[in-house]
Amino acid sequence: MSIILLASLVFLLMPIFLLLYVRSYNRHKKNHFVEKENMRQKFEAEILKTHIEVQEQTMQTIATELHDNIGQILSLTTLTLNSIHIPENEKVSEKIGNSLSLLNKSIKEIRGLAKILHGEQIVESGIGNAIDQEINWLKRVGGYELQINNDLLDLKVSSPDKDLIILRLLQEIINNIIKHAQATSIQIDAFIKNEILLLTVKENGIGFNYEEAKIKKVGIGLASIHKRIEMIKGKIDVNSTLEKGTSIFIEIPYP
Amino acid sequence: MSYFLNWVTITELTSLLFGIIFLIRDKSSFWRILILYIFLSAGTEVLGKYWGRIYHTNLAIYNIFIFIELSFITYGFYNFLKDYVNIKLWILVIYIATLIIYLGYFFIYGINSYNAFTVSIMSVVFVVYGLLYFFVLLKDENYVDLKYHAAFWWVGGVIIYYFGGTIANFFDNIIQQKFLGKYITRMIIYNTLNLILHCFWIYSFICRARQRKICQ
Repeated sequence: MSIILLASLVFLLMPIFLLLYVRSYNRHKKNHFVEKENMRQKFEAEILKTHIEVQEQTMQTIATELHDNIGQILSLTTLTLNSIHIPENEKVSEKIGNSLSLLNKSIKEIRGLAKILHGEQIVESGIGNAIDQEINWLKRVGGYELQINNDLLDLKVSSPDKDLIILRLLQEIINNIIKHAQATSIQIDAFIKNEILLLTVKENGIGFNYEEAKIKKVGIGLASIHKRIEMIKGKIDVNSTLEKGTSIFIEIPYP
Repeated sequence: MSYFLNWVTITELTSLLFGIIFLIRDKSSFWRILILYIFLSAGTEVLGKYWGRIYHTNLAIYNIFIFIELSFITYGFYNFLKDYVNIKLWILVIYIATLIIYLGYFFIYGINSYNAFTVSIMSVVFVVYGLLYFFVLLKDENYVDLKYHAAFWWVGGVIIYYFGGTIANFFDNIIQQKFLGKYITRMIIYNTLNLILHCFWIYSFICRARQRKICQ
């Protein structure tokens, strides 16, 4: 009888050992899984970094070309037009005057555009100034009632890498508002509190379904904002109500 | 009252209590049916005692319960295996085959003879299902934390119960007559296995409730 009991005990222990083996194997699987996940994230971060670097490089090239090439040609044209002396024909003189003013406007716009594209140069003077320049550009575009609270102008600390990403984030958000929001008023608040940079952008546009857009990954704008936030370990909160507008709250550890 | 309470009923009623606490709000029909199954299992035990007292044999009650056990545990394995492999047809064929053996036994020996043969076949089938479950679980590319994986603990309890009971099933005729001290050997084995099974199941209920809470 004790043999049957003993055999039963062995048969009882066998599945217990099997369960222990499955758990141990699963632990190895977990390590492998975590390792794989880390490698994937690292790879994605590298790709993203390269992508942003290439994008930045391209923008700088365009900015340089605009400033040094097209800008110079336009300046030369202005000089040439200025050098023409036609005292007797008033109409021609008026037309040349108009052309000159248009050319000057173009040069100014190209310089402004080149400045915005050349992110690294803008952030050299600090994130506060960079945001200010971006807002000035927005003022020039016109069509919006702006409410600005930029407390970053007198900021003593800086983080060039983060500054560039923050600037691009703001540019992306503003571009999205211009392209999709149909807003009439924009409020931008930028300040720093307990080593956290807080950037808030509110508008009164048509709004959108944020959760749906996030899941469906509609457009590259939103995805790009998320990727950039992820890169600098920041947080983003988007509250959007249809027909009422959208508020974006960004928190970034700073510097 | 105390006549109806023994180790098996106490274990099963405790398990039933935990089942009601942790699974009553579960959305999955399997986990809710499990409460009913444990209730029927405890009910069979009590009814078996009562039946034995009046008619001097309660084997018919346990024989009927074999059908419930075969059907529910098969359904349980189908429920967990279907996430990994398409095995519906196989499970159905094996279930029908076991059911034929189950009914065939009664045709030959009558309802008052304990159907240990079907129980043995059923045990082997469930052990194979359990092993298959572990195999597909480990083979699966996705990682699950087994510490809190309700299905793993449910299957773990079942595989220990049926694999551990293999010897007792094969020597059923011998061990039900033999005593170890004042206890019947069969009861020692089945009570121990039943206790382990329900401990594993109670833990799986807790895991399931935790999983549900996380998902909400």
